[in-house]
Amino acid sequence: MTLLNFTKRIEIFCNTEGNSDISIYANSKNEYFVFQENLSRIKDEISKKFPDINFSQIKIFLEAYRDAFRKETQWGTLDNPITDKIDFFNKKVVIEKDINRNLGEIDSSNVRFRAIMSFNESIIAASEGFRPLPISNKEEILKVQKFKDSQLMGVLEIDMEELFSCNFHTEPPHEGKPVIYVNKKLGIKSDISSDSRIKSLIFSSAFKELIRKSIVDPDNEYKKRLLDYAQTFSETHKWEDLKADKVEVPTDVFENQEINEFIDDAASGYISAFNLLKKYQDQKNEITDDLDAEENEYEN
Amino acid sequence: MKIKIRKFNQKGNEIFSNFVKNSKKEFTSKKKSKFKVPINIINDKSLTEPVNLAGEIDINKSFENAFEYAVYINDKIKNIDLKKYRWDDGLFNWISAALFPNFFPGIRSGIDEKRVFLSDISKSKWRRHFARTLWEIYHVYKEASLCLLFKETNNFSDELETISKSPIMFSCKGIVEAYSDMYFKKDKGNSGKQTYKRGEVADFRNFIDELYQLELNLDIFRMSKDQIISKLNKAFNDRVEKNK
Repeated sequence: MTLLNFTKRIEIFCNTEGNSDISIYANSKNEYFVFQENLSRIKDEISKKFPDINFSQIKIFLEAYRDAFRKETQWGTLDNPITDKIDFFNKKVVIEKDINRNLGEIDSSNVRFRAIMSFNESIIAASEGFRPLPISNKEEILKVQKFKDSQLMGVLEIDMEELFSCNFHTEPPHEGKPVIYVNKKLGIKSDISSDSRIKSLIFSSAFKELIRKSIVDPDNEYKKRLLDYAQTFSETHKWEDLKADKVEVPTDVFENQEINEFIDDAASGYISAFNLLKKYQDQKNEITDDLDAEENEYEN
Repeated sequence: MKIKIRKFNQKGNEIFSNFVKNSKKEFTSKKKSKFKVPINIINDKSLTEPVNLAGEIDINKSFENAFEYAVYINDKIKNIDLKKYRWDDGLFNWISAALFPNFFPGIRSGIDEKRVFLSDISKSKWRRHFARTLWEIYHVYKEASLCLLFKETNNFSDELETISKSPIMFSCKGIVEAYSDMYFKKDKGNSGKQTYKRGEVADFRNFIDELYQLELNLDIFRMSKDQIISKLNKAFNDRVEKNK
């Protein structure tokens, strides 16, 4: 029988190697932890495919199952997802209360999960069945769950004469957010997604510049968040002290040695946290391998 | 004869597996058509382990139908730690051995080993196991499960075949209740009858096909039986009316 998908159902990516929409961990005490702070891709797709549905009407369900035994919990709505969080700045896992996260008769070592987003009777988005990432205690999540760079800086395509630039966004709803503007005509946003080398070069450079600009005038929460994140890589400097003691005029952020140390440490930490050097090298190797393969084809 | 429920250890599972294979040979070669409980195996302390809080079962008991068996065994294991035992092959193999004549030979695919022996290495086949699957259907759906359990304990019916292959018939109370409204009529006590024949319009297999189509598009696992039935075409709804 041919199955027809009328609903334009969107696939939710969970516990995938790359950018998961939802991540779930389970410990040996039969508890599980859910992170759904990265739903912007899902929201974008839903806005395109279901423009008339309000996010607050889309319920998020997580089903734990083994064989035919299912245990289901609602984890909020797409507008207001219930989620555990990582406080990267204080290095701790913040657990959402009032959710029954006992897996019941299912053992965490063989449970599978499925994520479903539904509107009335229709499934709007769903994942395949997937296993939770095993952890011995919740603190271990800190090592695995990565800070999402989208939480720090946005990427926006605009018509421009440069390849890219960075600044703080001037329009709502994300007014003041650090943004990397990329050349729309050249399709650089899509190149960033497909080529880690381009992403590494643009992001590492923009990250440094945005920190420098933020120290000069840390006048909104986005900038402070970026500076807080940068500070996690500095053993000696606090950005608020640097701002108070070392910045008398804007040019000080280029000339003061301590500020430059702070920025350099942050940049190295950022590159290391997001594995940008390795990603650059891997992408380079991949392209070299492809070229070798093409040459061999001609030789044969 | 009443015995407190135990579970096989690894050696016990192996010995029971051999017992099943021998029984199969004896049945195939027509040496035997009726089989007894392997009392020596289920009582052997070196092959079994105690199950904390399990009740006693009568190993001579025979059951009117699968529902009666499921209610009986559910009562005997209701206090055990199901987190530990729900997927324990040793426990359900022991129960299968202790009530062996109720399950072997089967009415359909009578000598299939998987109907009476749970193998740790082929877990995908576990739903073919009589002793465990019949219990689990009742454990999940209680009284609503009668429509799936009204046949003999050794009858691997079309419904059980479907359940064994896919969880769709077994994953949602609304689906089980919708099935009951369309294809089952309860008689006195815990008995009943099937109200469709294979090949008829809107028969059970058509229902499963429809469910797969619905499941792709709609959130059927959170629907009530009435919501599910309302999504089906007129032929299915006519069955509900006729079945009332």
